[in-house]
Amino acid sequence: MPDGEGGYVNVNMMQAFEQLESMLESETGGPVHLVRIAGQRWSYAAGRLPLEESFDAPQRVILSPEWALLFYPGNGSDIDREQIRELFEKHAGKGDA
Amino acid sequence: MLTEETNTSSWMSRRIKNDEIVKYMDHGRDFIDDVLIERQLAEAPKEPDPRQVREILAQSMAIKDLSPEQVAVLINVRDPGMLEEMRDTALRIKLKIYDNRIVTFAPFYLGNYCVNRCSYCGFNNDNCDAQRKVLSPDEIRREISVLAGEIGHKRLIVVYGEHPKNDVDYIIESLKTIYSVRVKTRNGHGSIRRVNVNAPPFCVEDLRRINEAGIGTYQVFQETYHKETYARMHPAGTLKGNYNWRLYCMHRALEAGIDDVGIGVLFGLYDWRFELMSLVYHTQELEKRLGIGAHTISFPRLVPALNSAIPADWPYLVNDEDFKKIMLIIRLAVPYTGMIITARERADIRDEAVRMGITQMDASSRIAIGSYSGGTTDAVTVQKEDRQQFILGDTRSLDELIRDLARMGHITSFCTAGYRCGRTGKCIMDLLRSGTEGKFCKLNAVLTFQEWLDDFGSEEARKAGEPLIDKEIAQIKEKNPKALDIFMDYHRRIKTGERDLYL
Repeated sequence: MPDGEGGYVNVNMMQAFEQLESMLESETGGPVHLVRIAGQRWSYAAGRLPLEESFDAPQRVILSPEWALLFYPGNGSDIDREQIRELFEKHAGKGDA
Repeated sequence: MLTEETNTSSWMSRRIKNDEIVKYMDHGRDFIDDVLIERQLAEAPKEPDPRQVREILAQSMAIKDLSPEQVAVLINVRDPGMLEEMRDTALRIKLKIYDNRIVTFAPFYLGNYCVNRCSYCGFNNDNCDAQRKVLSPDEIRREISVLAGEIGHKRLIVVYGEHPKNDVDYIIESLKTIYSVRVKTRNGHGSIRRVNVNAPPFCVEDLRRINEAGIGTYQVFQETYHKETYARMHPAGTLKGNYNWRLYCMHRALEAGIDDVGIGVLFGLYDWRFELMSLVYHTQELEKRLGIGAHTISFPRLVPALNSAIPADWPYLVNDEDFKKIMLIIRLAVPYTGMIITARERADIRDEAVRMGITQMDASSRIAIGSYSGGTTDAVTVQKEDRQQFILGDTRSLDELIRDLARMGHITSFCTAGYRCGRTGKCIMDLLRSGTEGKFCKLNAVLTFQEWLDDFGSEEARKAGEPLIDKEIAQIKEKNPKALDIFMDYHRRIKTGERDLYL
């Protein structure tokens, strides 16, 4: 992914995702992707690939106007969106910074 | 007060940022090594051993990129039997990755002002016969009302010339206008859901702004990778005359966060063999340096333009047989990449291309500025040489194309879900390579096809399309039972008028 000098990837959000990804995966039983929102476009930013058998509709959690998560839960569970937003606020700080 | 000419010159002088070329180069050298490519072509076996060809085909079938040396071998295959094996493999690869879907779109030219003087192009600045125009927001809305409300398109490729009138601010505003139009249809509503952009090369900062507008794919064609020919076609001192500014455009796009990029060649400017090898080098360079290869490859073929300097006996014009071989080899060389064949080509060539692995086609296409809402509905007579870049070879309506594809067993997909679900860039590449993307696409193809049939399909199109949908649903039941409940729920809701449900 393009990042670093002059790149577009927001370091705080990426770091928060790296810290939380394994925990989120084990709770939901499937891959979780961090995506960046630009208008209609949700661009993949991070998360385990490939999505071998994950063809369920992804569950979306919007973290901020710029960032969202996509869950591909292997255990069919519903995602607690509020809890996840709080978790990310704690790790990455509020807003998009 | 500054004259328009002075303003344009000043605008041009600020466009190219040399540091955004050199930083990607390898010790001052670009990644198209003309001498190496010519040598690889010269050293490839003139009559390739069938065993070697079959090994290469097996590699393609395993969804692995081919090396330029392997591409050079395929270029030399002339034996009809071997060509048939190549054709068969190309189709099998396409079905493995993309199944029987063809994604459809429409070209939408927003303006034909251009500061460049490309000798093959009808929009070149020296062409005094071209009627120049750039669409206003109201004109854009009228065009989209036809595209999304009468024809039923959901995906566009919007085309901008290189000119201050079509600069980045105009691009962003026009994208907002396009996305804002919502039109009532027979059973629901229509809108454009994905706008791919064909525009000149920009600097990283401008590309970042364009990305923020929510584009689909960013497409820039090198036209020719052959430096001598490039210089001949694109005069020095023009913006397009800078080969490397264009060549490294996709490096900048990826750095700016546009992670779906489309490359292409205007076949016919130089030897197609050289161009094909260069396309492979380009996609491999993007993969190696930025981790994401080309999302799509386009391969327009040169046709005469009004006042074009290309003579009818130009030695590099590509005949039909070679053109088909080009398509086959692209499919085999980059097995997972989307392939676009436009209505530049005749209907018979496009129908054949469907059986050779292409993935996207346009239909009901109008390429004169403002011509979707501009009066006559006759696609043939509406072609205006002084207002369009080239003359179309396939003037079939979307309804006709859909019927023809259905007869060939192909479902027309209006799916735009991937880029709205994070399936972009490296993610989509991996999904395509592993064959997983097809599972999402099949569901979305059926849902969007049903929408189109209900909103726009003629009686004949519905007769051809509905049995295809029944067949697809039966396959989903058999092969993708996990997704069946949600799919059937969405399908039922679409039948009752809900729109834009996707997985």
